[in-house]
This record gives sequence, structure tokens and C-alpha cells, in this order.
Amino acid sequence: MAGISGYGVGDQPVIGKIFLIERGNSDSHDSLKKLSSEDAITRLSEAVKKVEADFNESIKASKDTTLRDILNAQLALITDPELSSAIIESINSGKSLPQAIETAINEFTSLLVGGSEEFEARIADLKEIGVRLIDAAAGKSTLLNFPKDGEWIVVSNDLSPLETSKFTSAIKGVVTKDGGPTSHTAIVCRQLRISAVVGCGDISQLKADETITLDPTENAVYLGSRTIEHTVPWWENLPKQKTSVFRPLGNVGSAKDAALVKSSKALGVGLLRTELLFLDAKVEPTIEEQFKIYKEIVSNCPEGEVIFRTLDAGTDKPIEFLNLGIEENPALGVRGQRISWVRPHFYENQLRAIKEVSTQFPNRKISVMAPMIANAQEATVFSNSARELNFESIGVMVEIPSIIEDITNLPESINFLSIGTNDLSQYLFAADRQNSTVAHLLNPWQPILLKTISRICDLAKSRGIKVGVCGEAASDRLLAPVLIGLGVESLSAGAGAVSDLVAISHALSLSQARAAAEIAINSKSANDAQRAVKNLLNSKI
Amino acid sequence: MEVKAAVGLHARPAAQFAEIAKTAGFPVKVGRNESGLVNAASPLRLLTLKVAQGESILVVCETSDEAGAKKILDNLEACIQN
Repeated sequence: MAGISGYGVGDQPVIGKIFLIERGNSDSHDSLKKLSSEDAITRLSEAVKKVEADFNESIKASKDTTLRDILNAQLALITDPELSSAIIESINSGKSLPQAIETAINEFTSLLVGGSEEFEARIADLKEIGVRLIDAAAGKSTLLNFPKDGEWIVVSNDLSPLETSKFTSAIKGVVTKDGGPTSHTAIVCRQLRISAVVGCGDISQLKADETITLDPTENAVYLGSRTIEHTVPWWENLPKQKTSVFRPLGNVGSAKDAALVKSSKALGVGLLRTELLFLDAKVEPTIEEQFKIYKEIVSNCPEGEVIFRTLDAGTDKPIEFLNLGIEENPALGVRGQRISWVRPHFYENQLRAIKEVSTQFPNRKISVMAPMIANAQEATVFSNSARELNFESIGVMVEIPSIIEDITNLPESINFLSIGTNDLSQYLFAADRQNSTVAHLLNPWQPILLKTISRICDLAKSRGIKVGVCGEAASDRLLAPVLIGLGVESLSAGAGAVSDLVAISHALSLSQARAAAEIAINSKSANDAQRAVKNLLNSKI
Repeated sequence: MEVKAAVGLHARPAAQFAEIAKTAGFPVKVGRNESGLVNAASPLRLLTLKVAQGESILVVCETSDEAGAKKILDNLEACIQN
């Protein structure tokens, strides 16, 4: 039986009926083609109203302010009278309703071609609006209503934030044509602990309401129902170790995350992201304002170390008040610590605010680390400014490959390194995280990435520097033993994965971790590595 | 009026800009120069101008109501300076 393969997210195989999200299906548009031009115009205005109502409902239901803003901006385009009049003009020139909508949308998108990324990105929005209008005119619901009962697997080209925000508990799995390990869909599924296989390429065999089996550990989707072994997670039957071979930590972006991480018994926070604070700010928050928010987050954090990461923004995640402009290649431009080159006072203020928090909690270990450090010299500049404020625990992130060969030149004051696997992969393989065609290169099981992590650990060890991992790779429950075997000392994952990491930390032995690392690093491909480690860990039960 | 945009007129700023232009009660046009003016109340048309951060744009109010025009221009300026 022919299977479909992609990149697996999660570790539990699932069986379910296909909930197909299909857009722009031409069969249902035949009736629209027969409408008179008057009827077509009436139908159009009804369709606009319907889509508008759908959007308003979603906006009302959404608690996420960023998502609400995105939806509001899209709504403004849908209700733009200029769009309707362009469509009507096209209808009057003899085109059918679906053709007229497509023509008008194409007319506007062609004007956006050649603009900066911000404008090019709107092309996809406009196309989606066109498809939604046609669907609404054909009487199809444009609003997704996921089933509330049963066991379903969502199949789609890709999923938008709006769509994933509507998942119900009946959604057990997800299969997408596009996307990769770090795409929005993969990240959300990991958080919600929904099994997924993303970036499958061809999903045309998958038909609505048919049953499929999805096995993320094999990166595969099978037609029909397969007997799946609901394997006990590999660590559950292992004897409890006397001492843990790594520290399970949590990633935190808000006080709510902090509380979740605390309840999952993490031994600290390996990554406290500070971006959320600034994304919606029109003016730079004062030191006092920053202090208040940081203090609230820290007071909700678990006991143990809390590592603050200074702002990791750039023109891809623009911060309004920093006024960084537009860049051709945001991932390679003024991002992370590089912002301190152009806006030095901002970084200084942020460090001061964090220092005030650490003074408020004298019994806690509050560390700081900087993102996007390219060499030992940049690390020295950062550690000097942190030392001036009397920070004792100072680290840098390893994301840019060039820092690796400079680890031995790091200043004494650097105590730890934290590997951001998503960006490290992006820069190591020259594979854009937003581009699904190159997504397979970003698979954290890539033996080359694992060898690189091994090199980082070896160099750091020679200097007595500890290494942690805080990227998506840390939440992969099979990969955890590999990373520890390579020499990583702590794993920091999102709230959803921390409790498993805690359980793994009680069960994993160093010899087992080293065996897993050995086997993974010597595999020929990411899939081979993953399969070999899976077999190894499960055979020990 | 010529304004230097502190933010590019992409999705969200364009929607806000159009929202303000709609309240004018008279036609407001915007463009890079007089020959390329579009309806400022249309977020879609604003997008197609592809105004990047730091670029200058020309805003024209088609009215004899000077006070009203000034108010709208001030609001529009605040919107893109912000």
C-alpha cells in the first residue's frame, strides 16, 4: 500500500477520519458560472457580508491580540469597496462570478509583486480572500467548524493561526502538504500534543471522511486503519535513576507560561523570552514598566535558575518603537543582540530592568544571555555590559555557526551556552525557516546538526562551560537522550513537553544516552537516526 | 501635504490609515506624487502603493473646508508617525 511521508511531530500514532479542508474546489462553482450578471452582483454582496460576519465572529472569539489585529487587517481588505467595484466591473464585462473574483484579486496582487516581503506576503492573504469569497458565494461555509465528537485527522495544504486556534478535542492528528518542522502548524501541534505529519508534498490521495493512520515516529501516513501499538513511552518502564543526568527546564514568555512550567515540576527556566512585552508597544517601556512585568513572571517561575534572554527581535519580528526599517534578508540582518549596535540604550535599559528583578529575589539565580552572537568578541562586549551590572551568570546563544570555532576564545565571564536549534539549523543548512521546500533540512535529527552539537559540547567542556538546548529539538522526547549523550547539560522546552522531560530525567542513564547519541550521529539520514534511536530505546524495555 | 512615513503602509497601518480617511466626509487621495494618487479610504489601494518605511507620501484633501482638512491630515500624520 502506498504511503505518504513527511515530517512527524509527536510520538503517538493515531487513527482517525479525515477532516478535509479543501479550498477552491471548482466542482461547486459550476452553479455560480450560470448566474446572470445581476444575480452575480447580488450574490457577491451577500458573500462579502457572510465572510465579514465569519471574520467578526472569529475576532470576537479570539483572545490573542496579535491574531485579532491580523484578522482585522484582513477584514478591512474584504470590505474594501474598491475590491467589490473591481469585481463588479469584471462581471459587467461578461465574466462569471468566480472568474470575476479571480480577475480582480489577480489585478491587485500583480500590483504587489516586487514589493518588500511585507507586501509580497499580502499576496497570499488576498488569494485566500478570493477563495473565501468564491466559497461563500457558492454557499459553502468559510468558517471552520471542527467536529466536537469522534476522532478526526485534519488534512490541509497548511493551517493558518486562525484555523489552529479553533481545534477541538476531537482533533487527534494533522496532515499537511506544506510546512516543515518549524512551521506554525508543527509548533502548535507540538504544544497541543497533537500528532502530525507535515510537509507531505502530495496529499491528493487523502479523501474526506476516509480513515487513515498517522505515525509521526515513522514520519508516515497510511491509508486505512492499521493496528498501531500504543507503545508505552520509552522512559516509563525504566528503573528510576539515583541522580538525574540533565536538568529539565521550561521555556517561558509570560506569567501564565511560568505557572504552567512550575506546575510541571521543571527545575528552572532555561529560556525566558522577553519579546512579547515589546511586540505591541508603541513606545519603549520604561525600566520600571519592564521591571514590573519581569518581576511578575519570575515570581511565577519554578525554583531554580531563571535565564533571561535579551530581546530577540529584528525586522522579521518588528518592534515598532525601535524603528529598524526594512531589510532584504531579515534573518541575516539586524536581529537579536545586533540591535544593540544601532539602539544601544535599549539593551542597557533592558539589562538594568532585569538586574532590578534579580535584586528583588536575592535567593534566586537570575542569569542573562544574548541571542545572535557571531564570535567571542561580541560575547565579550555583552558579558562586559552584564558584568558592569554585577550579573554573575552570563551566557550566549549558539545559533550562528561562526561562534562555534570561537568557543575556546570566550571570556572567563561566560558561564553557559544555550543552543537554539531552530536558528542553528537555519544558518547551518542555509535553509529558510519559512520555506517549506527546504524544510527537510531543518529536521533536528539531521546527523550533521547532531555532529555540530557534539562539537559545541566538546569545545565548551574544554573550557568548563555548560551547554543547554532551548530550541524545538528539546521538546522531542526521543531526541532528548541523544542530546544528553552528546554532552548537553539541560533541556528547556515549552510547557507542554516539560512534564515528560522531568519524567525522562528520572529514568535516563548516562550509558543509555551515550548509546543513543552514538547511533544517531553515525546514521546516514535524519529518518535513519530517528528510527535507530526509537528501536534502541524501545528494546531496552 | 507631504509626510515621511515612520512605518511602511503595510497591512495593519494601511487599515488604520484608511479608517481615518473614511471619516473625512470628503475625498482624500494619497500617492508618491500627483500623477499616482489613489483613494486613501481603500486599504487595498494603499497596499498597492507599497510605501516602505521612511518614504515620503503626498496626501491630498479634495475640499474647501480647511479646518476639516487640517484635522484629517494631522490624524493621518499621527497614524504613520506612530
